Amino acid sequence: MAEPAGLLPGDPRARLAMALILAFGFAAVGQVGTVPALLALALILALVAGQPARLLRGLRGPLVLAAAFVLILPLVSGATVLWQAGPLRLRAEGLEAGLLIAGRLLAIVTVTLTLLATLPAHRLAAALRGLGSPALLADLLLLTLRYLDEVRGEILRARLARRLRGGGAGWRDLPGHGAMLALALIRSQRRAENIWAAMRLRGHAAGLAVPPPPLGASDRAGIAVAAGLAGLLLLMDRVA
Amino acid sequence: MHLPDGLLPVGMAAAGYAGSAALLGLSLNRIARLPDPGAAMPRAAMLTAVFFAVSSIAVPVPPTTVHPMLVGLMGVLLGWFAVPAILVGLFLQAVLFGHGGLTTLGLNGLILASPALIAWVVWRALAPRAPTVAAVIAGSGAAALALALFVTLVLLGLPADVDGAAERAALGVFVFAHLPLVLAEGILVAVVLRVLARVEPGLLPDG
Amino acid sequence: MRALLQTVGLAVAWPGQPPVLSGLDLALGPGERVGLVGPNGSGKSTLLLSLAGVLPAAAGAVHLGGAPVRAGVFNPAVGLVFQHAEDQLFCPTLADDVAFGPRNLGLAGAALEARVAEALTVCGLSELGERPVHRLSGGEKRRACIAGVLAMRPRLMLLDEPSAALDLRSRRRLIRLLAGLDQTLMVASHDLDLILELCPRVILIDAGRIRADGPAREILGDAALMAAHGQEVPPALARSRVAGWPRERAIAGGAA
Repeated sequence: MAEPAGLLPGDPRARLAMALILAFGFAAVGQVGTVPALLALALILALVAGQPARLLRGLRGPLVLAAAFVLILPLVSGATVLWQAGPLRLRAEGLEAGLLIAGRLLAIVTVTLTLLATLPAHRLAAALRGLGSPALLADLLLLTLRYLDEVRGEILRARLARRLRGGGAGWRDLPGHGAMLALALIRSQRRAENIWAAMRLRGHAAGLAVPPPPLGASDRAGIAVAAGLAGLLLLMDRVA
Repeated sequence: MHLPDGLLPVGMAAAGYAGSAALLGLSLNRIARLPDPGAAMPRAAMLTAVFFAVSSIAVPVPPTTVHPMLVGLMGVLLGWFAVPAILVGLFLQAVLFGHGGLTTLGLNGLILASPALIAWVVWRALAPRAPTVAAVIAGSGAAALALALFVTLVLLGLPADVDGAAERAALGVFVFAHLPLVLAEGILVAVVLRVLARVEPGLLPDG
Repeated sequence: MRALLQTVGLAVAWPGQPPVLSGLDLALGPGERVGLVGPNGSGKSTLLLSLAGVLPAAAGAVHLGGAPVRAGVFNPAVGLVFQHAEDQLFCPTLADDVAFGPRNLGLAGAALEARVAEALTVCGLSELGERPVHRLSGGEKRRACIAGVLAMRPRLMLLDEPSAALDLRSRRRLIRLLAGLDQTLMVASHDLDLILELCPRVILIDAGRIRADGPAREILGDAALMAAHGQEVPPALARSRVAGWPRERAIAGGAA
């Protein structure tokens, strides 16, 4: 079950805590001058974690969004004109805001993808539970995860079956989609009754999330390092 | 249609977490008072799986594709369970796909969960008299409300000195682009609730 | 022989509907293996759900080891293996799922691990503990369900269509697994060959009532009785009794 995580701590609670500390630290950066440090930190984290291909795949959407901020904000925001061509005016304040938003976005998504997306999803439920979130939330997460792929497969098969028998596709057949959704809900409701019976027959007092073992030294160190880095970054940001 | 990381000041993100936590606390408290909260959990999980499976399946609406939000329907069918269900879904999307945001999880939770709860209240008030109208209002209303909250928060997050004309133009495009989605959500909810009432009335809350 | 499981005048109904089963008297001795046969909708699954305490008795009672089985009360002495494996495997990995029941019985640490390992070994799954349940094959899923129930060390195991949708090899493995268990078994199935191989005794139910209860070979081999309840004599029995039966019947049975 151990995944190639490089030097990162393996305990999902430590990963989640580190991700939250770093993400909020990054989100608190307010000076465009800190952005290079921010991106460098995210890059180092990504290198430590390995798996660059996977990270790049996950970053595709955020990169487009970040580019949009950098390209659009200078055109619509700020007073100091940097460059003008016809009606287009590039402005300094907008560019600064765009770079800041894009930098924070990319750094935070990188942290999320390297620290969390590399874990098997069900261990995140154990992490949530271990960090003190309500049992119902962790159980809901586990059961949803368990059946998400199956339900998705069922719905896609139902859609295919409709198409094969001449059903319309896309928005023109909204009522058809509604009926399909309703039937998926009914099937799921029936299945939920069976699952509940199965859970009850084997007792359900302890909940579904497995209680995690105590945090190890590398886990504590990871959290401490994350907190230190976030603190350092914010100090730089405030002093600059 | 999620608030991305990095856009909003960190204070708003933290406030979003606090708001979502409060809403979650309230709903867990109400769920604990249900006659059989244990039995309701697998049901909520299965419906959550359906909602997230469906909202991950794109419906082609030329020239783009639209993901149904189903916020209103979640509210009507899940009631208080809509709040943990929505948070669970957002957490999965943020963590597994980097879609949405980790720091904005709280705000995104509020954007979706509050319209869901309002849709539930509205539907319960209107459904006995006019079920179809109630369903359309719950579906379209919740979608419109979620979009309005989203736009409001984005505007709060953008630099204060954004060009007014550009802002209005962007807003216009956004509203126009999402109008079909809002209408579709209403129709979808009406159809789903009508089918359920016909073949499986037990699935509808309160009857 | 003192009965392990006993029902007296049992009637079962789904909420708000007329009874699916009524007037059921049956007794199972410890270690007995009983096949439950009958057409679709005859009440086999309902009976199992009621014996397991999922559905309440509308009339009569179920006793296990002398104590009444009360619906809705956790009773680790009865294990039910559901018809659809997906409904029963609700935990992320196989080991988690097998551990679910024993953990609810209060086991933890090494004792829990030992219990899980034992159940996985009996079911031939010891290599697959860390595998996510949705990655298991159909036959593995079926045995995983049995492992999850066995890990609670029940005295009575109820199995609903255990061989449905299994290929020949998985089915053979399942039969070997079940034949090796010490538990009292009740197996509801349309797979009459499996029942013949596994269960010395058969109960035939139809339209919610017990129509026959006795040695498997007698009941499954009684062409008139079986035909009256929409069943066919399994080929193995039809062939062995070919002298006493019209040749066509045996062939028809074999081709079915």
